[in-house]
Amino acid sequence: MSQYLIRHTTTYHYAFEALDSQNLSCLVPANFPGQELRDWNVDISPTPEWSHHWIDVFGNKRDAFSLASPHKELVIEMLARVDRNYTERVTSPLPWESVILPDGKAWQTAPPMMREFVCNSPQLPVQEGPGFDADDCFEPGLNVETALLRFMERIYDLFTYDPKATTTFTPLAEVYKKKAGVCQDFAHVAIAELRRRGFSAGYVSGYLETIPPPGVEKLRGADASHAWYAVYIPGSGWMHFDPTNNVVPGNQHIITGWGRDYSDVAPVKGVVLGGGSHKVDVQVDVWRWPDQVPEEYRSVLDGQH
Amino acid sequence: MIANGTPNIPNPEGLQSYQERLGTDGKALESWESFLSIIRDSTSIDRDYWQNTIRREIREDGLTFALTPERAPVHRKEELDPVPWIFSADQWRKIEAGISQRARVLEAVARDLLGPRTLLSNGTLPAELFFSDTNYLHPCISLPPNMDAWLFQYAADIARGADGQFRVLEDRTQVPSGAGYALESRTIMARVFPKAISSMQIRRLAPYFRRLRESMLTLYQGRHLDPRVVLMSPGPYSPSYFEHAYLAAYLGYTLVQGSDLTVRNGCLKLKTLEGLEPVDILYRQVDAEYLDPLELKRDSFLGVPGLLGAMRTGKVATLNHPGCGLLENAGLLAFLAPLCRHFLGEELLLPSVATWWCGQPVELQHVLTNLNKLVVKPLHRKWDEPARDGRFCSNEKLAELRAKILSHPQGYVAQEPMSYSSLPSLVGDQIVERIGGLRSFAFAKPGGDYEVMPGALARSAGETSGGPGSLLENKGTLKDVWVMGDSPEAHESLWKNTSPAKGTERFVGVFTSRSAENLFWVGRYAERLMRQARLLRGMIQLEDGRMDEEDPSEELQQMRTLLETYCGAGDEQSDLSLVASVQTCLSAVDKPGGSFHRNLSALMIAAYTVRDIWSQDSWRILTDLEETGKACAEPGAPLGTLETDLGDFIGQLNAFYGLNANGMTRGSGWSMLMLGRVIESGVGLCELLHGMLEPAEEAGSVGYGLMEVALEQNENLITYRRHYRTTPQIGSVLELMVASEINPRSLVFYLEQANQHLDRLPPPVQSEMLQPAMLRIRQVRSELLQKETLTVGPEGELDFLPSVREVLEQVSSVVSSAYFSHTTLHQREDF
Repeated sequence: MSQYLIRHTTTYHYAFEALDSQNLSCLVPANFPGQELRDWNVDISPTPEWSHHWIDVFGNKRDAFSLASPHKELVIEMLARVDRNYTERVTSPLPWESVILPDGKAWQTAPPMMREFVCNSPQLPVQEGPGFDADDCFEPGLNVETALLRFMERIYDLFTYDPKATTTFTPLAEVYKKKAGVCQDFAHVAIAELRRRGFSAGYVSGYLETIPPPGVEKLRGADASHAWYAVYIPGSGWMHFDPTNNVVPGNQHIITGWGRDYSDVAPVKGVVLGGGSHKVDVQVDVWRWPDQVPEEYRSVLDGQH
Repeated sequence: MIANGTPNIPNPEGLQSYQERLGTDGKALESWESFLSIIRDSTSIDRDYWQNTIRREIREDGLTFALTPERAPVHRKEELDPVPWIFSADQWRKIEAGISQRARVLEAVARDLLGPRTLLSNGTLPAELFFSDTNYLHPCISLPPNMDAWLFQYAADIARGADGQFRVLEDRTQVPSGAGYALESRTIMARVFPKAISSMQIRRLAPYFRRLRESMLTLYQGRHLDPRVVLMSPGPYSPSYFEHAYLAAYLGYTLVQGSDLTVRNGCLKLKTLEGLEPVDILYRQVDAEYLDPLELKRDSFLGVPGLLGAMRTGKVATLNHPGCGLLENAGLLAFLAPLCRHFLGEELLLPSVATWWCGQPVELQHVLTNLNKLVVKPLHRKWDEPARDGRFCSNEKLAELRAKILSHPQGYVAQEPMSYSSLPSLVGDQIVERIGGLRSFAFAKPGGDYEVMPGALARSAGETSGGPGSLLENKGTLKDVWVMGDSPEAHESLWKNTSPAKGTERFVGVFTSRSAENLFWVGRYAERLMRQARLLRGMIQLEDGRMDEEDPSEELQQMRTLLETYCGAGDEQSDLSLVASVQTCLSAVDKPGGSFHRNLSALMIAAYTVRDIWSQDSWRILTDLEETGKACAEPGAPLGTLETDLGDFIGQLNAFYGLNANGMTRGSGWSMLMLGRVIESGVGLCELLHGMLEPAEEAGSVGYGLMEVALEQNENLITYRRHYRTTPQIGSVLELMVASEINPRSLVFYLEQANQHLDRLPPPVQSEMLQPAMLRIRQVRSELLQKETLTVGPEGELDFLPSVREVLEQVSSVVSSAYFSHTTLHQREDF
């Protein structure tokens, strides 16, 4: 088991005074098999005039808040302590053909609601042809896990990690063309292609603990928010895949949000009145509790949720 | 007598269409006969009169006025058939029962799909049918409606097949539009056939709208006992804006756009001149997707950021509930009969047109086998993907269609082609048969039932009998729908009841910042047009009259200069006659200074944006004004009629001013309109004086002609002659136009008026801004009175003119920044 303290700070600097803003966040880690949220807090500065916390249709913790007095900087700091005890890897004895829709046998007894993740979604519209060649990953009769691992590796091999290649709203077709992007694009590319093949695939947002080389001290803010995907296997559950690193997520992958694609779980979004152009600064720390946690963060969550 | 009808029109499939005017026994129905006999017994004079009256009413009410995306006013073709679609009381009862039953089923479906979703989780409905639907908006699931109705308003497009059965082609649940057109058609018909309506005991529409308004308030579950309602439109560029303005004015709700609203502290607010006012019920005419750029379509400019959050915390009711668009999913039509049994334990009275959702293997097979007999549609109406009628597709097209369906079967449905019944229509001088369909409307009542409008929006197709796919979408001829009552119905006004209707009184006299801004610009543009029209007419008259008296060339040059400063045209074309220059001015589409043409468009757009506040007469005048103005601006218009046309234009503008002066309440709206007018008058007068005096810097004097044109342009020529009884002298001319305290067209008078209107506006604007300019003018007045010659230029007596102009423009921008909202919303980058 591992326990982590996660700090995720988003700072917006506006060129002019922002008069008013409406914001929505999806930052707080969820409870999932193998993951338990201990305590958490979202601190916003300046203090919002209004805020509301609710659980969305996918079970994610959401916060809405608004600011109504002029400000030039907005800081959102999320702190959460999470236990990870990811011991049982999801496996399946089935060949891949029996877990795809519409005809896969395993679906006959599966909950209909899981079919949602085979359908098109806001950022991943219906795709007529394949985005890249992956037919050979799905040899007839191959075990589904083996096939999906090959598929993940194919993405890892074909696409280059390049933060400059895309933005949060680069359309999929362009990602296919550039064969480059960030974790969000890797996940989208995989999900779209899997859905086209009849798999039920969801988007997972979260954090990844980075481990510095031996002897090197971990830098503050150097960790990153991360994204990967999961495939629903009737009879077994969700199988997670991280195509950016070509690994099956384990304890170092902490889950925050769950949805059909990025648009369901964008960490922070907002509509601003005034403000002009803006710069944004994001810092993420994934600290092992308690050893790696800096002194000043040891007790900040006392008395919180 | 005129010829009675053409024979039956065959439907495309070769079947005879059902004839509405005949009973099952093939005999003419009494309901139709009593009306058709009026037509048959009429003379051609009667028929001309009816058709002319209808055309005039349609035009005058603004039914045809629309703005193009290129931001120019156009008149679209809209016609109303003098022959209504007539239903006997018994016939209509069946439709009524069918419509309200469907609405009840759909309400139950909405409550489930936007709530617990058991219909999907237990497999009653196929999950993919809704999960692949882009109108299944996830942020709207479990979003409380804060109303005891999710589907408050419902409409259904129905048509009668050859077998005599009415079927539903489409359910309208997102923004069921068209009720305003039905109301408008009835209003016009009531003017044309008042006797027939009362003798046939045709049911009235006003009680329906009165009860709709009451029901809305009863169903509201929010915190206020007296909720305040606004009607939200996408704005004047929406093709339905006429209807939104019409309904808002009729129901007494404030007409707003997304930019008029804001969410503060989790509550929805209306931006008014007086500040932010709370809103409890949002009666939306905007598709849900566009309602909240924070949670829904992020690039929408039509919505209110944070609206869904305000709903989620129970502060505001939006109707229809933003999730209701999903009930328009065409695949749902196939499941409505079982759902009706499931929820109501009843058989569906008004069936859907036979529909197959391609997301199921058996249905898909059926569709692919019968592709050349079916109509294929995407799950939702899409502008870029119209329905395809397989009967009219080549083999090649059919193959394409098949591939399209197979690439995404869940996204398509196929339907049996709908056939329409045929209706008597008056075309020219003949009663002919035309096929048509109708849209029926209903609203939710407390207790879960629905009330159906005793009338509808009907349209009939043109001469071709081909199935008009979107007959009810602004195509075809409008037809009023008459439902006969069992007993005579007393005339009842919407406003019959008691004191001010609840939900409306709070906003009486309140102007949104946007309305105020548009009124201000109506004032400015109208005055600018008035000044341009007067100047141009004055020039024509001058050329006609007395060009030959003095040195014509010099004066001509001065006139040209004036034209250039004033109308932004007329520059170097000195070989043109003055009248020709005037015409060039009028027809110039665009000039930096604001051509006549452009000002006219801008006036109409600003006026249309606040369409809900103009009386019928005011709008009629504006429509006439636009037509006259366009005739003047026509490039090839005969020079001979130009003077008369400009005269008509000026007369119409004056009539518009007069109607406003007599009819508008003296609130902030009036002050904004007047402020726009007097500021423009002041600015225009400063420009005129500058144009008049500038040539004198070189010539040393101002020509009589120029002074007369200037006096005439400022509507002061007669006044001048009466007061001074001489040919114009520069000193007294300037005294009259600049400093006279009793001349309502003097600069100081305008400043005084601007001052008074500023004082009437709610804080924060201070009227002291204008004080120094007024003081200065009063000082200079006595000097002017003694002048026969004048020093012009920087050292002259009127050296302050440029600064007066400047201060007026400053007032304009101060008003604008204090009362109108200009800051734009930005979608921040996500992280």
